[in-house]
Amino acid sequence: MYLMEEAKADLVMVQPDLAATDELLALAARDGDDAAFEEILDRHRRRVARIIGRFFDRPERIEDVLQEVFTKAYFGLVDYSPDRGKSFSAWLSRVAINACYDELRRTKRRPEGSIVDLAADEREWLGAQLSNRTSAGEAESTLISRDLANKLLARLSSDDRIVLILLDAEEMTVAEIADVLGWKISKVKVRAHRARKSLRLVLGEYL
Amino acid sequence: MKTDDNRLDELTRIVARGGGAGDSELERIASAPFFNARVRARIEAERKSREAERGGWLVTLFVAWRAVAVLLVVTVATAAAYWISRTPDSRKAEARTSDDVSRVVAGGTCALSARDECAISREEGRATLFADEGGKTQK
Repeated sequence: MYLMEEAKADLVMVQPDLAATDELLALAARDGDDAAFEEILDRHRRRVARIIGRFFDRPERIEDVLQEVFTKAYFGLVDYSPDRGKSFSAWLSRVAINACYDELRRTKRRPEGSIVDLAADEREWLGAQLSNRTSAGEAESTLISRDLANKLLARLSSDDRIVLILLDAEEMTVAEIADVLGWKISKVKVRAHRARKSLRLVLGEYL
Repeated sequence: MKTDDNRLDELTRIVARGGGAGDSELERIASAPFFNARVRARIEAERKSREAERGGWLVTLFVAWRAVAVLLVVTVATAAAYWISRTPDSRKAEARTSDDVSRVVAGGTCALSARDECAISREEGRATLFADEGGKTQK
């Protein structure tokens, strides 16, 4: 602890450089060092944007949540302590995931079970995927699947959606998800099961 | 059927991984030139909002404390005024009134009571009897 304080004092005196760890920068930023917070922003904004980009597709929304995450992190730095065993990166990811969850809960979800708003090429792509055929080029296929995936995911509740994305896209374990969201492990499992069931229901119509 | 199930599971994972925004879009957002300045502005706005909120609470708390203090002073003043207005004469008058009342109540009780202290004495009984007989004799 003493060494940490000493290192922090050194850090405040000199400009943050690449050698400074995230944890030291966070402590300096917590004590009002603006340059340290700028360094944190520069280091982590791409990674945080990628996390947010898993949940949302509209650029303005992603940017808004990205700003929200760093604002929350700034005011939440008073609660951050490297002594608790969590890296700053993990702590920031937790802030980002919870900000995404809050934003998902604010969003009105689309009605379940309806696939009428799928475009013809999306239906074709979905049918091809289900029957193991390839219908379009790789790049086009990726674009179609992203749009289609967003439409399908929009039908899930915020709880189901966040669990499914963290499990399958972020490849987190059930225990990690429970820890990040502050849920019980049983709740995460139930939500994951429900989310898969809902998606299978919609996809099953094409089989 | 087993193949369909596996395919559906696989596709569910593809959907979960495939949602969201593209990498190029995310890179553009994250490397926006004034991103840091926008975050700074948002932090300042949030700070002001929190300070205003905290100030609002303090004002409410201050008003509530003043209201409680004023109520306390009014209560004490009312009680003091009541005690001061009670002069010794009024206290005596109050005591007399209560004695009269008890006497009336006691008399009323005696009229209906068979207790010893309420009983008529032998002399009183005789006097009443002779007075009645004397009256008849005179007639």
